[in-house]
Amino acid sequence: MALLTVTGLVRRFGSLRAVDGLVLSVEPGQIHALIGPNGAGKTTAFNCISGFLAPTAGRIELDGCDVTGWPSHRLVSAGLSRTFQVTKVFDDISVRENVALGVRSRLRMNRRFWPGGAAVSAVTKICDEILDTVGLTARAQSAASELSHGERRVLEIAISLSVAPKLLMLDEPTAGMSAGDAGLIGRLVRQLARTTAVLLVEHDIDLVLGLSDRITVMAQGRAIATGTPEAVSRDAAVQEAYLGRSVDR
Amino acid sequence: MTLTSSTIGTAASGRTSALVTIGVGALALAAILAAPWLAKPFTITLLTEAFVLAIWAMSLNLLSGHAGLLSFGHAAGFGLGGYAAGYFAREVSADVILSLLFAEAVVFIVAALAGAVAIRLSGVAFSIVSLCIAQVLYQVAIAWRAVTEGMDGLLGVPLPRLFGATIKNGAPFYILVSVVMMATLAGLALVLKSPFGATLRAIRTNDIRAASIGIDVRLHKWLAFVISWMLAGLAGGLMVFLKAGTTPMSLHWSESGNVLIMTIFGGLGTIVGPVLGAVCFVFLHDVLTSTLAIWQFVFGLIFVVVVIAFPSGLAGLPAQFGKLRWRFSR
Repeated sequence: MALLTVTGLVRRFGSLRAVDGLVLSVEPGQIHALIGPNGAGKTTAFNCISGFLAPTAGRIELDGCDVTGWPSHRLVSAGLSRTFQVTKVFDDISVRENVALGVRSRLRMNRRFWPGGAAVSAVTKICDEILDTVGLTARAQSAASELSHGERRVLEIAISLSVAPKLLMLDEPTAGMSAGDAGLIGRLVRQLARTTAVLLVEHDIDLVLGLSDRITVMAQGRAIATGTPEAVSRDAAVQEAYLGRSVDR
Repeated sequence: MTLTSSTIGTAASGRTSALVTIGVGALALAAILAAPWLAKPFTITLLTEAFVLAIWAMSLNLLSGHAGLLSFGHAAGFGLGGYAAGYFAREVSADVILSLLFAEAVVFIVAALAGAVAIRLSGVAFSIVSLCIAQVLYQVAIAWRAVTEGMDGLLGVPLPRLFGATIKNGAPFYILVSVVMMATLAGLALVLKSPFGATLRAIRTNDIRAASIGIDVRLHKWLAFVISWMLAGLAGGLMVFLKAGTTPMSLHWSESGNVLIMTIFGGLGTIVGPVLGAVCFVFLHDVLTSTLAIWQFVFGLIFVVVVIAFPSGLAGLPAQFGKLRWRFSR
């Protein structure tokens, strides 16, 4: 059974139907990319699925549970977390504390009114495991504001991992990165996909083709093709959407 | 921003700074409790008022410094708590615990409702709505004569009683206020270092990111709002016993301005800052009003200098000087 099933998703802004009947399903253990030309509605769809925008119509199911219209914080407890295209880390605290916020949220410790106790070392242990996974161990004590752009993009992913999602949604994880750093992110995503499904919006087509198990191509608010990277890159509708209608047909 | 330097400072020097904190705290505690035997009665009166205001400033610091909700109407919980405690003391019983409990119950109900509306907003919109809420209560205090006695105010509040004994003004009431203030400071210090405090600051830094890791932003803002109002109500209740009454002026926007000034002066987003701010405010006010006709002008100048030169207030001074020394020693 699919982990995420989106059917007939619509989001209107006034008279504009930014997402217009999107159908999408993500299988467990897969890296699924959502691509499309600018203005195709990827970001709007992403925001609807992750609970930051209320859908106008349609249905979103996560792990067999109807989560349509749930706010983001509730979706997190249902097993979904996301990153942001524009890095949103907590600049004024340490890298480890950035991750600890999410770990405590998952362990339902947000409303503990006293510091210390046995749970603190448990949280630290989980944080260090996550930092080890993403390769930020050496920076654990640094303030997030001191990190390089590439490190901040990695921390962005680490924060979203801290809530142990079943589905990790990555919004352009390589935004603004050099080719070398982007490759690093690619390897990290592949490694993470062993434990969590990944839904990815990304502009770097080479990365998407090399990384994804399945690709859904959006244009004008709908999915125009879904399949393996090979199938999608041969698809005539996709080529038309990206390159425009050929003149000498 | 205020937290950056102090957090890094703590991480670097760890145990030493903890020892320094404990040492300074113990000295301050001893000085506060010994004051009635050392200082003049008038000074004790000023200190009592300063400590009551300190509780109020600490409550604002929780809401505006840590949760990031800048309130322009923080007189609301303070004035409301004052009226409720004063009314109870006059009409039912002057028992200080019962009066304050009654005040807390009233403040809780109003804060729960007002908070549910106000926390839906953020930034300037929240500030303006908090101001509106306080002004509504101010008008109610003027208009609801049967309970509040209108513009005249609620006068003739009896001396507080504790376990059957009357607490006289001066040293006995000062000790009571000092104990409540220090308990509030200790309690808030724990809460602000707890996961709850960290969660509030995460919301202050980036509420969207906080929501994306499962933090219920509205719930936490509401909790901060209600706790903040209830601490303000506690301060208001103590003030009404100190002054033997209250007037609608306790709910006026200028009072909301004063508490904001004290808190920023002492250090918004710090822990001990609001106490320093309140004490300085009261003593500066006393010195300036007795020597100058234009005290507000002079106080305003001092405030501007402090805010520009020391962005994290008086409580940020040690860290700031620490950084200077470090820069020179390199």
